[in-house]
Amino acid sequence: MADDSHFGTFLRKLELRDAVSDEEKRALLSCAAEEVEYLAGADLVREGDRPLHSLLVLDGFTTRYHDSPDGSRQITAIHVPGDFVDLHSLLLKEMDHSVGALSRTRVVRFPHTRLAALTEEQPHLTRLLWLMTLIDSSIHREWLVAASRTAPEQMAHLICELYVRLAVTDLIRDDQSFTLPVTQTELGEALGLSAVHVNRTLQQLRSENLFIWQNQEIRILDWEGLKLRGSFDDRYLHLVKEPR
Amino acid sequence: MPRYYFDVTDDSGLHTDDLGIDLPSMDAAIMEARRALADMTRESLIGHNPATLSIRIRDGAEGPVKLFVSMTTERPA
Repeated sequence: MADDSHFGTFLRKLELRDAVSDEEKRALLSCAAEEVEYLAGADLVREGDRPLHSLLVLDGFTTRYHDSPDGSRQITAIHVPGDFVDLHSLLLKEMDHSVGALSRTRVVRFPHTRLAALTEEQPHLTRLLWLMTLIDSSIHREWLVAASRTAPEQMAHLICELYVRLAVTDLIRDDQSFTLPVTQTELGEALGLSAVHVNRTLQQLRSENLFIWQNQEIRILDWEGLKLRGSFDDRYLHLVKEPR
Repeated sequence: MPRYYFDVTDDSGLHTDDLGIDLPSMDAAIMEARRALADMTRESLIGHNPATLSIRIRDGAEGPVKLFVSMTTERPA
């Protein structure tokens, strides 16, 4: 049975958007089952699976992705620690995409039977879990919009988004750096760009002194400049605390 | 896997690649360069830039291999 500290990152994400009572926290925690670890490159769930539990990521970075018949891969979301990566499977039942680990990832399973019972007893908490899946959708929409921009704008936007999402859970270091365990190929799969174009774009943004990307670590040099470059507005992340 | 370096030349000059990408073969590197040229040509055309782009692929053993794209607008005076 996991304790409160394990859920710190996820609870912070909820509490950033609305008040969560102690009773609600206990109710959520009581739904948690065993912890499972995955190595980088492993799949947490695969397209076509019918999972019997949803996975809350405690540590590690994961992606949602689709494999194409030609062997290419499209990454449709990057998940950071503390994200509930497949809360969707509670209602969708059959996975229409896969979730893979970018780094060593530790998750805790929430059996669907317990989550379904939770929705019967905790209407407000249910709305908050619903909210988290809606925010996942708004991030997808934002990626679609960003895809029509130039490569440097699109990349600047993604870096801004990850910076804000990681800052929420204290994963930004004092020197404004954070870990992003993706290769240039994976970054290309997320942005719909070839690896060479990603490489060229990274060099271009570095020459503009906006950020440095080295050894899977990103350091922001000019936050305001980067936001401007990526036309980034965090409204779609819904970081406002209000009754929901 | 060997590491290939992709130097890009566009309207703002030569951008020497000092990061490189690990790929299985020069054939795979050429395919990467072709995809990149497709992406970059699109952007260059939209941006009203003179669309001449080239990529030089370097590796330790073979090459360099050079690919380039040139787009011309012919308009009667």
